[in-house]
Amino acid sequence: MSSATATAAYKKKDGILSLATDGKSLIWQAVLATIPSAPIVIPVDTITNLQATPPTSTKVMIKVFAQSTPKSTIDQYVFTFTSSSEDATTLKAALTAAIQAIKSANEQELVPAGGDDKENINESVTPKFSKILKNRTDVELKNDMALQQAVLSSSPTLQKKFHEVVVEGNMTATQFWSTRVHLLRAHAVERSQSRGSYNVLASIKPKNEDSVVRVSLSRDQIHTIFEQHPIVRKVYDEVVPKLREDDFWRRFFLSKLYKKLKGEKLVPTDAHDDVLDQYLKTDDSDHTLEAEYRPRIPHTIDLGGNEDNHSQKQGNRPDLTMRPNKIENVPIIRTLNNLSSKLLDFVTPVDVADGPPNSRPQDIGNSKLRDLQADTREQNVLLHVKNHKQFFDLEIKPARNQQLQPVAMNTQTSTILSHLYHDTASSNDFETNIRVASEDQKPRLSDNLYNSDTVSTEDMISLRSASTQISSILSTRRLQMPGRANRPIRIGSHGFSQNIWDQLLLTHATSTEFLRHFWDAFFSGDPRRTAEIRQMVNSLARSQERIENIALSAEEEKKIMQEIEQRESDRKRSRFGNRANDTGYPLVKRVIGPQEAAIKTALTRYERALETEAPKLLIQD
Amino acid sequence: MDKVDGTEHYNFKQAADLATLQVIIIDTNPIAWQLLKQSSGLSFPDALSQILIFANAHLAFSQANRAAVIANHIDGAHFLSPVPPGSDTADPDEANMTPEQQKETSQRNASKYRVFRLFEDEVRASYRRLIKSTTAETVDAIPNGSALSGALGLALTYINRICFGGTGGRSSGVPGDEKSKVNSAGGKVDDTGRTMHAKILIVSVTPDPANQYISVMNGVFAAQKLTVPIDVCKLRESTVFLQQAADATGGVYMEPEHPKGLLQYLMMGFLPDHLARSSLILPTRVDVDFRAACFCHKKVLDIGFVCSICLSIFCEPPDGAVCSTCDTKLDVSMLENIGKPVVALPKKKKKKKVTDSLPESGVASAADSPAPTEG
Repeated sequence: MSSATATAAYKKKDGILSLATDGKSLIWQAVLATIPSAPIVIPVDTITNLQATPPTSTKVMIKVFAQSTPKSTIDQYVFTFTSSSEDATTLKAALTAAIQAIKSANEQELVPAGGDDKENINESVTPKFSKILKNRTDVELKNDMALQQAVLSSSPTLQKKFHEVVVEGNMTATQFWSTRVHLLRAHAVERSQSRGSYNVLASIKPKNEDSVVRVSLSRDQIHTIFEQHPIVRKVYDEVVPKLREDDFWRRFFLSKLYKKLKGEKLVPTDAHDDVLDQYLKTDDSDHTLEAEYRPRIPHTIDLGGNEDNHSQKQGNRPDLTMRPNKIENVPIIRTLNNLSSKLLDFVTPVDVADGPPNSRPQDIGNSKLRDLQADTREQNVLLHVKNHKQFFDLEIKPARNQQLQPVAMNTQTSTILSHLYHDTASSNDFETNIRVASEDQKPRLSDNLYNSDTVSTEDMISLRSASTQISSILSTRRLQMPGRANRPIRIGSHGFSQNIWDQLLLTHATSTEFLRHFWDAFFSGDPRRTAEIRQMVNSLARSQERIENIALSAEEEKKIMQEIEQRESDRKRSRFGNRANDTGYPLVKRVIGPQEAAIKTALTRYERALETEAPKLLIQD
Repeated sequence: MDKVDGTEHYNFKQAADLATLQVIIIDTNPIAWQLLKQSSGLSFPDALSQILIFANAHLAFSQANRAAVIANHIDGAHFLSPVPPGSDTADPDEANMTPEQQKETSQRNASKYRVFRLFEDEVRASYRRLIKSTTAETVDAIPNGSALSGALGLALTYINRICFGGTGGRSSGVPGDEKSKVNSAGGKVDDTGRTMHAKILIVSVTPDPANQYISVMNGVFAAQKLTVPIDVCKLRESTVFLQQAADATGGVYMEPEHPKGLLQYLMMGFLPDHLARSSLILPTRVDVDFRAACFCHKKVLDIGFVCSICLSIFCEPPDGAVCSTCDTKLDVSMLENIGKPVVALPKKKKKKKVTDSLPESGVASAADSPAPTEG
């Protein structure tokens, strides 16, 4: 934003009106030395309206309406330009631009993502990189009600939870959002992104009605066509006064030019259009745009910059065909590629450089060959991991005594070792054991193969009990498998009705929420949060009640179910009987068990803190 | 059109066809086995023969399957099979055998499947050499000795070489390849570049080596990354680390109540390979204890303090607010602030009471220890 200055009179005093260099404020400074006065500073973002006399009028004036603080009166400033009208125009233009920049920046923050795509495209063409990438502080996010509403409406589960905890519960919205700043941030970032442009010609489908081709074309589409294909704008500009507008578009959609832009093959049978066909050979590319949006490459490393002079390519070599219309039938793939790269050019680059090209000192650094440089020193954070042995020596010593005693009573360590050595010798019945075990399917894995059946039966027993243990683990695990058919289908896969299940889920979610805030506050050590802690304790107590209520209603439901079952066949009832212990009240309690334990722990901890703290506080007081 | 395309078919076959490497880590602590024998009647030679049957069953599944046995001995971890290249593979007693004995041995071995025999001989001979070199003094000096982290490290590096080493180059010289002659990997590679799947079975009789917590956990996470399940058969001394190891890597954790039926547990619980496992209900322990042991007093915690740099877990802020593991100076002001008396609020007791089903951790005491009473 360049600063602009013009001499102007305010309240019939001569002075200089200027726009600050950062474009944020309009400053009028009196020049009259006799009356020293503070300059009038009008922040640009407070300006609500701007009126100016037409540039042709003899006395050029500008009227600025500024609202200093929200809901206060609007101040009016009238500046009469005393300098040349050019100066006035420059200043006016600069001021208008500054106001526009600030306004549109604000708008972009406020307009939700559902806004008009076209508008966003236009906006994104004008560079506002800083806005898009702007990092918002946590406080900003927490205070942005509109953003919070948007987040809520985007996630039904969150909305439900919000409703339960904040609207019906006693948690404040600030508390609720304080642990969800990441969600707000993610949403804000998501909203600041907009959909990009698309291949507009491909989306226009001429319809054939009664042998007349009909095309419906919206203003947005025309705009996009002009943007994507500057050649069409050029043709339009040159042709339309002569042709009528609808006539132009009708001919355009039948012309070879249209087919060429779309990437279709031109065939000799195509209709001839003496106006539009002139432009067939014109290059459909916008060099100004390219220059503006091409990634900034320092000339020192820009290989593409020399492309035109590249003698290995076509640069200086004469064209063999010697025909100018070589690229008349461009393959569609190339057309699409060109178009795609053009679309990408419209997208605001994230890594755009601020300064003019070739001015950055780091470019030199970037063009150095790094692998030729000496190795840089590594900047790792060193971890000095210490041996923990000193902690464990205490633990091990008593353990050793315990360990050694039973062994020492029976055998010496050396005896154990020699036993181990001899028992694994090859001359032992090592392999025989295995063979017998597999042949007889009656494993005798003890040391003595020839000794009695008692050993093998003992082995059999241990093998059997091993199987039993494994099967019992397996059956427990199978019960835990989700979606098993061992629950009545009628009351849902969880063992109770959908209603109870939903309630449980919701209670669980809210209780977790309360617990989170409770611990956060409890361990904060911040005396100001006492009230919050007490509040959370109350909420947790109520959570316990809620769980109890759900369990009770599940029990009632179970009774009703059982009555219905009883009216049905005996077979079904007997099947239900097996499960009776595992539904209703006990089941709910078991499902929510861990959380109940967590709530209990929290409450106990709080009570104990109260007990120990209260006397001390009394003394202190 | 898609049906004619054959690529999908090939992909599927490759994924299904990979062989499995079974690495078995056996505790060989003599004292621990002696104690187990006294309490349950399962001696180490019995257990070893049952484990070998299990390994043979694994080898029998596919020609390309491989097995490795690592001894977690009191003073270190040793490969039992395959033996490190260049080391002695003969049984220590073989030199003293009479020709008749040798003949007898070879005759008895004659009818045995060669792969099984080679594998068994190798494991047994290596074990005997290991025991022969162990003195009673060493055992008495460290009766609870366990090199779990070392054994796990050996297993993982071996797996990395066999399963991800590729076909040519250095992997052709994997330890014991020419000695063990047990198996060779199939030439197939799946899309992640692995040539074999692998799983680890830990047969453990020693208590948790608490001083190896960090390295064991690092091993567990490495296994998780390689998608190598760690199965744990805990015959004695319930454990927290290995439970978490099995859970984190998707392995099976079992504490046999009847150690004499070890074979049954091995066959039913640990034999299925990765493909079969995906469609089986595994007999792993139902309730995994996820609590971590604090680094300072080995207490198992609900709530604790974690060093922000090295993630060490403490039941109370370490002395002088310096992490005892990595020497990082921690933010003292934060620690002091926590649990400072707030009106009608925390100044928690040092005394530990068990108030409900959850064991009380040291947090309460931890919170107030650095902060002396206010005023």
